[in-house]
Amino acid sequence: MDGTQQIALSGVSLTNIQKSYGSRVVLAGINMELAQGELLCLLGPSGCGKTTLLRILAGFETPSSGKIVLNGIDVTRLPPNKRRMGMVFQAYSLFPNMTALQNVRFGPRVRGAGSTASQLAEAERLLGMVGLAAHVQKFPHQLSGGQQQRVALARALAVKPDILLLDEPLSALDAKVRTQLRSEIRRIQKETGITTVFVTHDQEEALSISDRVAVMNEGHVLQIAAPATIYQEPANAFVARFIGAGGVLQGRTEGNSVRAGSILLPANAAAALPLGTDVELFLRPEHVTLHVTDSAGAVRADVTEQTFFGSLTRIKLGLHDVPQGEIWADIPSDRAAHFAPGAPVWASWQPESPRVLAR
Amino acid sequence: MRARLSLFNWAIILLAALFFFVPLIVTGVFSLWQGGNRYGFSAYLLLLNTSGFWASLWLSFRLAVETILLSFFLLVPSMIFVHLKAQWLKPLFEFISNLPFVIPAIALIDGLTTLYTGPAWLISTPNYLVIPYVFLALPYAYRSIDVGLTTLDVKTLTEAGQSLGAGWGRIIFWVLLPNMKAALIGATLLTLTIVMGEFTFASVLLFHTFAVFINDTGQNAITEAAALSLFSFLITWLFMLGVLISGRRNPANLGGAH
Repeated sequence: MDGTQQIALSGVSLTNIQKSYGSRVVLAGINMELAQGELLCLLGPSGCGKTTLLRILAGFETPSSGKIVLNGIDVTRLPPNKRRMGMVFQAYSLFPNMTALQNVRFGPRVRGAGSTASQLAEAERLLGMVGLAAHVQKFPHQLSGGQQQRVALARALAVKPDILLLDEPLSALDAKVRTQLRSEIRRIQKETGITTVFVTHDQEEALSISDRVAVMNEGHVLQIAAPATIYQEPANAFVARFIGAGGVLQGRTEGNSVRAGSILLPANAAAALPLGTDVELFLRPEHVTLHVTDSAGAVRADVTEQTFFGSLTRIKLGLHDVPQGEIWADIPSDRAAHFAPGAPVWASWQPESPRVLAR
Repeated sequence: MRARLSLFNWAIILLAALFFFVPLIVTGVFSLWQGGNRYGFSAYLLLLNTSGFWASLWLSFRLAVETILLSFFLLVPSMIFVHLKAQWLKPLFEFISNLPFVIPAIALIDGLTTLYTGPAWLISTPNYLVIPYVFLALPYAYRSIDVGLTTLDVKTLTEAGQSLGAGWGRIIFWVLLPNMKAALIGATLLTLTIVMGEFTFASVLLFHTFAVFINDTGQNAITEAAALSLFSFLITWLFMLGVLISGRRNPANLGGAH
């Protein structure tokens, strides 16, 4: 490859990637390493820079500074058609004038990879792999949205990419198809062992599909970790708020507790911070137990809201003497009648459950 | 369910048909008139044997093809570029494409003859007409191509092509142009029609195109002129029919089935 330089050994390495449009900083020095065969989700709210980072990886955008190394080769300034990256887009991107088979064969054809017969055979195999063996001769307008994205996935895989880039590929699909297709993407990714970067703003999608999740906000990567770690041990208040549901209470550390108003909330994590530190206490709804009568270690609260989710009902609680913040609790829906809005309840949790982060 | 047309709708259709067909029928009958009560095809036979007929027809057709090719060569890449990278230039393109509506043909000719110097094969031959013809057809060609590009997700298709390893040539010829077929055919038809019927430029610059031939013939032989007018109509209709057939045979459909 002309103009490239041998740097690292394998996988993908992003070093101090920065991107600015005028005075607006979109990416502020992103450093990231992806292992060979890993699926990493870039997760964050709209405008956090995740799509820009993916487009920089693909070569559609040039970073203002920084370096991208792919399988030991610096590809920072390489145009997209010279990189070996397969991409599935958020918008339907199949070529309307080509059948599913022709779409999948497009990449190998322009790259001159193999004979026509072998290109067609490989395209058919890939379409079979994504469950579209019966639709190879259909044009995009004859396929559903989910089928089109499957073809797009097969097309991206056909070029045998070093890295697969998925830019919110499921966001245009309905919920049922989305769940089904994301499982298939994960299965195929594991089967092929291709290093994959998946951009999404859907935390459930990110947590269910990834080896690791990178949570981004305002051009920064706030935390990169396994989904369970991100959920259970958020690195800061933004990640704690963005990932999963949970109650947040403000207070000050006091030994193994956090004092909010006149109430002492048990939280072992508070002991790690100096006495009197202003903190936020994060508590997942599944960690909270509700009682209809006073119970040892429980705090008094009032039910403010009930939300029915089918098998579970989420109860929102306001604490006495704590004007800011609330606690959430998920309980089986058949018990929800005991906790009607306005009813007094007692909430308890294990002291090791809350996450305590300095404000 | 097919909607039923009311009496009023039929009356409008009948009026429109009369407005359109009566002049054609009368012209057709007149073209067959051989004086007195005699009718026949002598005007048509005479035309076919007239020395300038085939030469002028061929010249206009050739100029139309050259105009179409040059228009596409200039417009397609630049408009793709604007759609992809420089949307802010679009108002400027719109403005330029509308200039032919406000600049009179005679002013354009004067401007061109003052400005352009060049090799004899261009300046001293009918090829010179291609330059004003491109300008003349610009509003129609621009609008058609713009509609074609707007209905496509050019950015995503281009990036999809690039991510698969395609360069600009393949993206334009394998991906974008085939999906703009209807728009390109529309631009072709409009340009063809304009050039085949263009009179002022050719007449002032003394080139003997088909429109000039029709005018000259009309001054000397009126039934032949009527026959010629019908003949030029027929040519346009044939082109249109071909365009419709080819457009229907392989339409570029966008979107999904569900």
